[in-house]
Amino acid sequence: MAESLLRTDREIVAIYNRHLQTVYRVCFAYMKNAADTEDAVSDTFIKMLQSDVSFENENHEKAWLIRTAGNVCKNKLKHWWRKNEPLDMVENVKGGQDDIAVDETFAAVMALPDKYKTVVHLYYYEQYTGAEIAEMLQKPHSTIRNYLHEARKLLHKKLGGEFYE
Amino acid sequence: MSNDIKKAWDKISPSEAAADRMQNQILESVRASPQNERKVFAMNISLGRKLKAAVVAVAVLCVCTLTVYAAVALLTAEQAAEFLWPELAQAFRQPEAIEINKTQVDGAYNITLIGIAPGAGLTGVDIAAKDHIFAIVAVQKSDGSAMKEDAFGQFHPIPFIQGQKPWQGGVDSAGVVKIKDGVLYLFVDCEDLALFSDKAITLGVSDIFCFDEVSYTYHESTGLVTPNEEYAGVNVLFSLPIDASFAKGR
Repeated sequence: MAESLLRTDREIVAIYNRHLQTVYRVCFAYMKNAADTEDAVSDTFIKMLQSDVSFENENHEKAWLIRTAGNVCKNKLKHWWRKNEPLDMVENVKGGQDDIAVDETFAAVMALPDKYKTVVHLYYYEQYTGAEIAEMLQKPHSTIRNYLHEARKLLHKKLGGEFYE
Repeated sequence: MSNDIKKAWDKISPSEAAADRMQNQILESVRASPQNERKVFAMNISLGRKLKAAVVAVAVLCVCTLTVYAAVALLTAEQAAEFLWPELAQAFRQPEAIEINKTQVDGAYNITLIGIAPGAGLTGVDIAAKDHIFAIVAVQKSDGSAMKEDAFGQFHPIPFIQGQKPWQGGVDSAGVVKIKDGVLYLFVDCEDLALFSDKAITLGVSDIFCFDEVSYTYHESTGLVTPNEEYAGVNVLFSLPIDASFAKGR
C-alpha cells in the first residue's frame, strides 16, 4: 500500500472511491442528514491522509476508516445533538442521492439507537462477522452479540416477521 | 430480514454532486498542507502518541486506585450550565430557575434532571431565547464507573407537550454534552417550549433519537406520554414544573 504522506491525487481518489459508500453510510447512521454526513465523510478521509498510518491491505484500510468515521461522528455530536424530527414521520429524508423515500423498514432501521445501528450496518450490509466487528469497534464480542440481539428484538417489535435469527 | 435491511442501507448513498464536492474538499485540504508540514504533522503525531501513552499510563494508575467512583456530588444547575454553555448560564441565576434534582434509575444508568430555567430575560446572548426553556440533565453509570466519551450522542432529550402527538413534530431541542468527573452532563435547549406553559410538559431521555413507540407510548385519552417498561434501552421521563413565569418575556 502507498505511504500515507506521499500519496498522489490519483491514489487519494482511488482510496476515496473504494470506500466512499461505506464511510458515507457509517456517518449517515450517526448524523442523520446529508449536510452533516458530508462534513463527517470529508473529515474522515482527511484524517486518514494526514495520519502516518500504513495499511496491510484494503480490508485493513476499510476497517480503519469505519472506526475513524464513527469516532469523527461521535466527536461532532459531542457538542451538539440533532433536532428531534421523527424520521418515520417525514416523507423524504435528505440522504444525498435525491431524497430517500422513507419506508417502514428504513425508518425502523434508522430509528435504532446509534450503537445498534452501526453494528446492524456492519453485520447485515458489510457482511462482517461479530468477531470482526468487535475487533473493529474495539468492544467485547459478547457486547456485539448483545447489540445484534437487541437490535433484532426492536426490529421484530416494529416490523414483525423474521427478525429473530 | 437481511434483504430488507440491505435495501434500507442501499438507500443511503451520496449523489454524484455530493461525492464530487467531498472529493474536492479532501483534495484541497491535502493540497493546502505542504508536504514538509505534513511530515512535521506526522512527527507530531508520533510525539503525540508517546504523550498519549504516558497519559494512558497515568490514567491506568488512577483507574487502579479509583476503579469505582464514589457517589459523585453532581454540579448544581448553574455550575453545570457554566461548564456546558457559559453564555447561557445566566438563565440559571434567574429567580425563575428551578433546582429539581430528581434521579431515575434505568438499567445501567442513573439519570438526573438537575434543574430547568426559562430563556426569557437573557441579555447579551446571540440566540433569540425568549421562548426557550433550558434543562440540565446528568447521566451516571449505576455501578459507579465513569461515563466515557463513547456515550456522546447516546442520550437524546425529547420534550413532550400534553395533547401534542409526538410524531407530529413537537418542539425542537438541541444542546451541549460534556463529561466532568465521570458524569455526563447535558445542556438541553428546547425551542418554543415556554409557549406551552399552560400544558403539562415532560422531558424524555432516551437512547432513541426521537419519539418512538418502542420506547414511549402516547395516550390519546390523556394526551400524555409514558415510558414503555418493557423497553430494554434507556427511556426515562421527567415532569417539568413550568408555569406562566417561564413565559415572562412575551
